[in-house]
Amino acid sequence: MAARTGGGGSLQVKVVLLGEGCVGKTSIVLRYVQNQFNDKHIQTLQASFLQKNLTINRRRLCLNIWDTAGQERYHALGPIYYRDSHAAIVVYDITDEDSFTKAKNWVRELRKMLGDSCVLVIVGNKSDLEKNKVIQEKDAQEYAASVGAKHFYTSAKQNKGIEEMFLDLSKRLLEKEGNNSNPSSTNPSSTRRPGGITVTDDSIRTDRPSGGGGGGGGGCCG
Amino acid sequence: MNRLETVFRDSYGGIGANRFLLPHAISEVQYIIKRLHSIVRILFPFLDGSDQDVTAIGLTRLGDADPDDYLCINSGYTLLHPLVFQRIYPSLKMLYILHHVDDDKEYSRGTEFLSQMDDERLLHFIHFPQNLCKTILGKEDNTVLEDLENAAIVLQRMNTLYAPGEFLDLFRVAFQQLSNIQQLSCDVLLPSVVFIVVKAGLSHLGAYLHYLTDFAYTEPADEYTLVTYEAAYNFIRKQGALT
Repeated sequence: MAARTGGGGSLQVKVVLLGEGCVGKTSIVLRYVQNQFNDKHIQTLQASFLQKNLTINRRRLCLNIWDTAGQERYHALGPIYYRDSHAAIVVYDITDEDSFTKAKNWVRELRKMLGDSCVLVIVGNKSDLEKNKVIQEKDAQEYAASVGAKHFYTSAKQNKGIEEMFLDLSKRLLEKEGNNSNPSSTNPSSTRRPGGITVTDDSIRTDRPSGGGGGGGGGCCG
Repeated sequence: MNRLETVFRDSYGGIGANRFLLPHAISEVQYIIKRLHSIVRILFPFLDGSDQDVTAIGLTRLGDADPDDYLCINSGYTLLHPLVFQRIYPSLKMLYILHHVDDDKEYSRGTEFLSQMDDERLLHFIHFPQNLCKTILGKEDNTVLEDLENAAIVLQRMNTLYAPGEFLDLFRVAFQQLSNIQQLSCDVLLPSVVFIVVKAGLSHLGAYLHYLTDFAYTEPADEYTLVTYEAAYNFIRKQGALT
């Protein structure tokens, strides 16, 4: 499905988070969008649906990040969530071999249902627990390459690798969408990153949970 | 409008109602809304902005909306839907119900099956996260269970609504009841929605969700909400098919 352009000319994309329960899907996205992490994994904000606005090389992008239920019991409901997705982040826990097997199942299913149209990222989370690692980097990288995905290590706890992963994902999404660029207004908070990419974190409304929109009417990325 | 209502009711309602008429009824309703919207634009020619601007600014200038309402009036849909659906909803709803009669039968069986369980068994069955289950069932803190029950009570109002925007508002209010639940990731949200839908004992949920998919003006967060209810509906329906 082609990404649609929302209010303010930003590109609306749907990114779905998949993976077994307890691998840290929600922690990754909360860390990225709200820069939050709690060891006890307790937070009061709703975390099922989050949005992040970015400007990359003067092109505006709004990531609509959809969380999914990790319980096996709800696995069959996956297609309802990931249909029409532009990108998928499949998360596994580097200390849990079973979660990697489940991640492979998700990837197989995604490729079957969405074909190659979906930008795919495989994420090994909990990289801070390196000493307990059971999935070797070489295996994970090879697997990711074999399914046309990129592989990243992240640690939501230490806030490592997450920004890079989402940045790469966003760049690939923009590349895929071609040249429908929309110059954005200059923002003084822009930061220059290696490789000549100007990234602006338009941060912004992030805690609008599912159904919590009220009547704002301004869309997400105005 | 009265004539439109009569024509629509005679065409699609009453004893002639048939599920195969649904696609035609949908096209007709969409056409009616589009035509009415054109009339609004003719009445306010000086407001030649986008569809959203025309209706929002138009109403504000007429003094029909106070600042709070203004926030809610963000599109032609939110303005026209209550006017149109108030009149034609009974006939249209019947077509949706007829269209989903088989799915909704399975769903009703699923609801019946799940509602026979006590809270503890139900929470385990729907894989409500263990730590929250302990909190709820430990009787130390019943607020979570109260929140879920309050959300279910909110959902029971669904049968009294007709405009798509009202349904979305209802879903928002139901979610607000859950906002005290910690770590409301999808691992918690989806079982919670299954729980409240079962407790609310809603009938024809499949028909309602299809109706909203066709007519609701949704923002991305609303889409996520609808998908969550759709997932819960399918989960319950599957349980009904297995029994």
